[in-house]
Amino acid sequence: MKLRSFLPWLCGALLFAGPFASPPNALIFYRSMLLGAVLIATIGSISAARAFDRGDQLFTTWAVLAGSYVILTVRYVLRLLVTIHVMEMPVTLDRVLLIVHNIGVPVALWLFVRSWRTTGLAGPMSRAAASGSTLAGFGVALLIGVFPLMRGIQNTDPAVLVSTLGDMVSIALIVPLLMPALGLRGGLLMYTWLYLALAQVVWLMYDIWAVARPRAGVTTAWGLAIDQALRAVALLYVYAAAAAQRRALAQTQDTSPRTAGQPVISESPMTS
Amino acid sequence: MNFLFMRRVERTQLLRTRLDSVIIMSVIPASRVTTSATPPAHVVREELSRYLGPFTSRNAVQMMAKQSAGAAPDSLTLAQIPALLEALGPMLRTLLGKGGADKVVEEIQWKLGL
Repeated sequence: MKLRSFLPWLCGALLFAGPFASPPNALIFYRSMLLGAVLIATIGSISAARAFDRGDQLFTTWAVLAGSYVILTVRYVLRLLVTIHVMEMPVTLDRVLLIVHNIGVPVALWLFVRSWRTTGLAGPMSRAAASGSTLAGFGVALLIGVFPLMRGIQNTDPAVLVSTLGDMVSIALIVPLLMPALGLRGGLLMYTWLYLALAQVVWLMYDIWAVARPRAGVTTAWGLAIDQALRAVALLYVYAAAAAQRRALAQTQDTSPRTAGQPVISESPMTS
Repeated sequence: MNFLFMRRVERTQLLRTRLDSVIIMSVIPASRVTTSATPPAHVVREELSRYLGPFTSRNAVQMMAKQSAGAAPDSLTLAQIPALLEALGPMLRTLLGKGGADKVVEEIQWKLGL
């Protein structure tokens, strides 16, 4: 496994500096760091979309993902401005941004899965094993999401319900995203799908942590640090996926062996 | 006498061919030269493998060889490769975009001298 596969975790570890600051400063620190992480994810997604032509299937996919992260960037800017007392939280706008983001990301992930399926390529598993794994993924999503979903249904804020449903769909798509990564192992394109799946795995860990945090026996400061670090890691895996996509496309443009303009040889002269 | 003369001519021609081969092999990059023992589909598989990995590139070539020529990849002739590349086109365009897919196909064609 390459070092860049672990880079999001190394960067996420920087957020463990938070508990050493005073609570108000720690909050500003976390919000600033998360804004940085979401900006990196957004720029990465935009540049991955730009690497494709407008008519390409993955252009739309990356564009939807980039759009979702632009919305999240706006939301994080607002939250930082509220934290440093520049403005009051615009509650309705915050909810709208959260809802649109939570619809956009699962749609983009579904488009990734659909793109792979349109290729007609089979994964490394048998059809039964692939279906079983996908069903198991759906089961995990349901298990993790059912309690927040019940709370979301009872909550008057529709953002909570949409956010929970978005999380559940994204978690359910982990296995369908991992299938192409397994099939493409050893190839440059593997990393795009692997990192996208890992981003969702980290969001799954975040959801598990949100449930486990009150019973985990860690202080509030460290609990919040773990919470924020997981968010940053998930966002940085999105950037890693975008960077991997760009690297693979850049490789296709590398025409260095052809620049010599040698005559065409298709059969060895030795055998003629 | 005539027989000996003919043998000498044959040997001279053979030596000349080998000398030509040595000269050509030293001028042309090894990456562009395929021997007749290497099936053209192998070159396609190797090139795709950079992006798709060995498993999927093998599967893709196998599937499209069957679809385009109704044959096993290793039995495809050079003349059947354009049809194979055309069959691989939609899959490559989905994963690499039109620009990327075109470049990969160009690279394969160049390697095979098509």
